[in-house]
Amino acid sequence: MTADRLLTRRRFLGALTVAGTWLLARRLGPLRTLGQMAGQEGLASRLVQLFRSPASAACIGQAYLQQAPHEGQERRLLARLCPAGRRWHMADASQLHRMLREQQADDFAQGRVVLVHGWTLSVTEARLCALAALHARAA
Amino acid sequence: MFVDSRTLPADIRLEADLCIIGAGPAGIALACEFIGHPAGVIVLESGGLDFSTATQALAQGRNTGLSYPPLTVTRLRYFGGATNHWGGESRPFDEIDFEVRADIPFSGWPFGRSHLTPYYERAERLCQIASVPYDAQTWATEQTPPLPLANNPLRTHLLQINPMYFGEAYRSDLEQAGNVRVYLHANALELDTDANGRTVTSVPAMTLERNAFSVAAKSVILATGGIENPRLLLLSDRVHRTGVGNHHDLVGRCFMEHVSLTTGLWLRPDPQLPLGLYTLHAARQGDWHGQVLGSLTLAPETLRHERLLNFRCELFEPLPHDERLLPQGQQSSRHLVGAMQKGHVPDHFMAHVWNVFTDLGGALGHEPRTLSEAALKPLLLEQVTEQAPNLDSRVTLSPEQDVFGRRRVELRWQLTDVDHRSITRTHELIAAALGQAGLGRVKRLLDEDPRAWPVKGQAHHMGTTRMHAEPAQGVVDPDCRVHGMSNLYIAGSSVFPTASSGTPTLTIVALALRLADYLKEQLG
Repeated sequence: MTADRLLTRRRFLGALTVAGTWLLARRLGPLRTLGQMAGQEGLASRLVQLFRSPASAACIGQAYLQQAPHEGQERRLLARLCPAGRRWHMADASQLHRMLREQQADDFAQGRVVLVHGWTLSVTEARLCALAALHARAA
Repeated sequence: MFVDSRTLPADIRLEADLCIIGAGPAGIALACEFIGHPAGVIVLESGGLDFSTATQALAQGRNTGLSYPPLTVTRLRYFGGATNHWGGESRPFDEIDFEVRADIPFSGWPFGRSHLTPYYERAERLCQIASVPYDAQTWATEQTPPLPLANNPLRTHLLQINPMYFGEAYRSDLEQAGNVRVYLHANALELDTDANGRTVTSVPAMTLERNAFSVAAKSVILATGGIENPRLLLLSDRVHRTGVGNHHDLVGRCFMEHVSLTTGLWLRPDPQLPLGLYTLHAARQGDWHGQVLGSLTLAPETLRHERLLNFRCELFEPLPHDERLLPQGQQSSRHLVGAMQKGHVPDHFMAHVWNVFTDLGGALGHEPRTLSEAALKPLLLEQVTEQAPNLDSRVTLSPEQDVFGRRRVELRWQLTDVDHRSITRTHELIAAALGQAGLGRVKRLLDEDPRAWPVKGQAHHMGTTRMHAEPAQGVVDPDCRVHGMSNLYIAGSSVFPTASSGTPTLTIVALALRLADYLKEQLG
């Protein structure tokens, strides 16, 4: 058997695997959503754990949610906090921290800020605090 | 030479090439420029060499606009003028101040910043400050570093500070000048003109003791400040019923101040953050020793893009027991009730903000380090903003009269939505820029209703005889000659078309030196 034939076979098997995975993913769509939701829950907890003073975060989050009650669901907050295109679920605490700091700075640079009790906060930190408030409520 | 006008023979008519009315920074700078010149110069000064209550009372006036200190407090009628209570803050105007700016009515000077550069250099010598750039690069030291503001719209803004009194500094030079006579206790009453009202023929003057005399001069320069300059023009109504130079009803209009207002509270990332550059501190440049004060401003491109007025933002340590620093639970019942009505509950919100900021802004893995609110040491942000020219902010004559039977002034200082919008937006941008730089968080202290803002002026009276090439838009032309008049000029901040963010004195002196050069040319 020549090297060319080997490559051809490998390519064929590879293509078959990709196609199979795609078909499986299509069939298991609802299951994938559930998995993602489980991942989200984990992500939310990990985000809240970034706060060394969760009570402070919850206090600010509570105030933010009073003025933005429509964001008072974890799913909505996560969708806004962790936009697609970045590997939020794969990130460890240090990476999450860095990604959020970048997002905060970008918020300020782009004017994505909110006033909470008169304090100018980035929407990212306000939403993180809101997430902490929801977790505090649940606890 | 100094002359006590009370000793003059009654009704004497004095003659000179130049008559300068007022011996403040503009009048003294002008007079000093003519020392040793062939021209004969007379300076009329209302006061003497020291403060006098009776003379100062001539500055009384009515205030019908925004809250403002008594007009007897914001001016000084004796030799040296307002420099006798000057803080000594100096800075040239910025390039943007001379531009026609979108959304800022009546903005734009007849010339650009570069035109004034040589006069600023001479003015710096006269004001005894260093001729170096007013930037952080020039003035920062290891002990006084600038804030880390790379890739940020915030900039460090510097003022040089040397509180020198023009009266003391230049008295000896003027006493010894053979061609300059300074008449003390000489109150100019009005400007007499020829029948056409185009040439000032004499300046009637009187002492408080009723000793009357007059001055005839080839050229007359009004240098009595941003309130008295328009008053003298308006009082001179024998030929033109609305006053000299007032064909277009502009005299006294566009009164501007530097609008001073505490806009926010800055919670620093670390209470130990070095801010020496932003407090009044000793500094030196070569042989020059003085003081410097840094503040914050925004990059000119941001000001242009956002269509904002120029400003500087000073940082202040609040006084102890300042209510604005207390947790809401400890604030006065009035504030507390107001906060409760808005749905706010008593809390330690500032400490929470600091905790969240440090949690997200600092390194991971440290122990929580909640500080007490007292230990956070927030600073007040005091914005000093130029005022947009506004025709309805003005000086007029009041029905009340002074001891000479001349009508006093009425000041109606007013702001517009342009000012309110700019101050608000500037605060927002400062808060965002500090956040972007990782330099803490800012709380807004501005009431939502601008009418409730406790704005203050800085005793800077500007714009009331504004400069413009078109008579319909200015009282004086680019040479500072009153439109329609052949020999009447104005020196001082009343000619400023716009006011910049800083302090007026250096620009007053620079324009006076420019006018001196022009008058020397005219006199041949």
